[in-house]
Amino acid sequence: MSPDRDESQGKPWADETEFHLPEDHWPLPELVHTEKPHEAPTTDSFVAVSKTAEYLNLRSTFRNFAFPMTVAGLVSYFTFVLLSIYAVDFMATPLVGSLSVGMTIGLLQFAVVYAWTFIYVKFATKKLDPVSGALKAQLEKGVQA
Amino acid sequence: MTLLETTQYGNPMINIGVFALFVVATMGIVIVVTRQKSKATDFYTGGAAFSGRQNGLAITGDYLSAAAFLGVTGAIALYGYDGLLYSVGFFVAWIVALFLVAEPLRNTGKYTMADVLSFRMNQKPVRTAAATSTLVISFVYLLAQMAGAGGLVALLLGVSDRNMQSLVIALVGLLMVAYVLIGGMKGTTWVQMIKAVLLVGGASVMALLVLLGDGFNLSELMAQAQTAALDPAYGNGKDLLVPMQQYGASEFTKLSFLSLSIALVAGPSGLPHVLMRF
Repeated sequence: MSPDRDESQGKPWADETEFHLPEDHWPLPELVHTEKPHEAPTTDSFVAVSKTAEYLNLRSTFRNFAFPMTVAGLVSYFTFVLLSIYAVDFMATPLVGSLSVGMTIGLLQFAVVYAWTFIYVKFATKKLDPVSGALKAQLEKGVQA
Repeated sequence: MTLLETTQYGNPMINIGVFALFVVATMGIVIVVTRQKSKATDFYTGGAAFSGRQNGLAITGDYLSAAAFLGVTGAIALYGYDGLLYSVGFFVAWIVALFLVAEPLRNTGKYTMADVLSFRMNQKPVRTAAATSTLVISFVYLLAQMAGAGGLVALLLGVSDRNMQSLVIALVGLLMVAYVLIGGMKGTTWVQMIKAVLLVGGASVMALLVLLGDGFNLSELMAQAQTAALDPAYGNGKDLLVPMQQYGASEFTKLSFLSLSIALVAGPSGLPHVLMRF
């Protein structure tokens, strides 16, 4: 199941990090694959994909989500901080029993982070993962071609 | 910073025993996990053998430093509201790390932060900057962690002599080095996973026990903490539930509070041990 087993196929010492050396430095033939390790997509193919509409769409989808969410999260946090500094009496007024308004708002920040993470996971699974998975498959198919 | 005085907590022999048990157990796990044959690259990356859930747990372990468990508790116990900022700030930092750092870093196929940063830029200056930042942050971070860990161990072992305490801190440091050398990335990832479970589990149990004492009435608990704090024999006579008790002295300290809040929210995204997990 581990990637090592698959690659070495019974030759446990196959170590792809030595393949970049000149051939006379490669490990003994009986200990190694005769095939080179599988190629990754080239820089050119990455550059080509980076110009496609799909890819640019993916990036803008992500950015249009991430920036507003980050800004909203930070606005909420800094409201808490600035109120704590400059509106001390307001933040000190008891809200529920002896829990002050300030403490409640502080604890609400935790809820914000949980909510944001939940929303992000839903968003990524629905909108980002399918597109990036397709692009990755496309790149890898191009290599095997 | 003065190290702890000689108050004795529990029986030192039992404490040493439990401590040794944890060390042996985790070191054992590290050795077992790294026994599988692996490539050199696996030492640095963990061989992509971790599932999303496991990696998430490891990130939790890295993100929750000793500060989250010990320091923040202490800060809140002594300064109440102002101490709350530490935990809130660090938590909100997760949003910054998640949206602005983690997603763009995902799946770049590179091993280290320096690799990712220098991907499209001039290699040398970027790598130098990344290395310097990592070293500086690690040094400062380690100072605090080691002092805390060593102090805690010295307390549990009942060590009072200043030199002995320093020796304990040094030994704890060597132990950590041993974990990393023996385990590599795989081993340390497992250690972080175990740590995350223990930290969250331990803190939850303690929180439950404390709340149990007040019948799960948070408001009542706060009121009692308040009374204890205002009592000069226990606390430092400060009101726990009101902001600006620690930082409200002057405009400068107020700005200091704001500066702390910015550092807490922006800093964790740059921590090398968190970044490397993305």
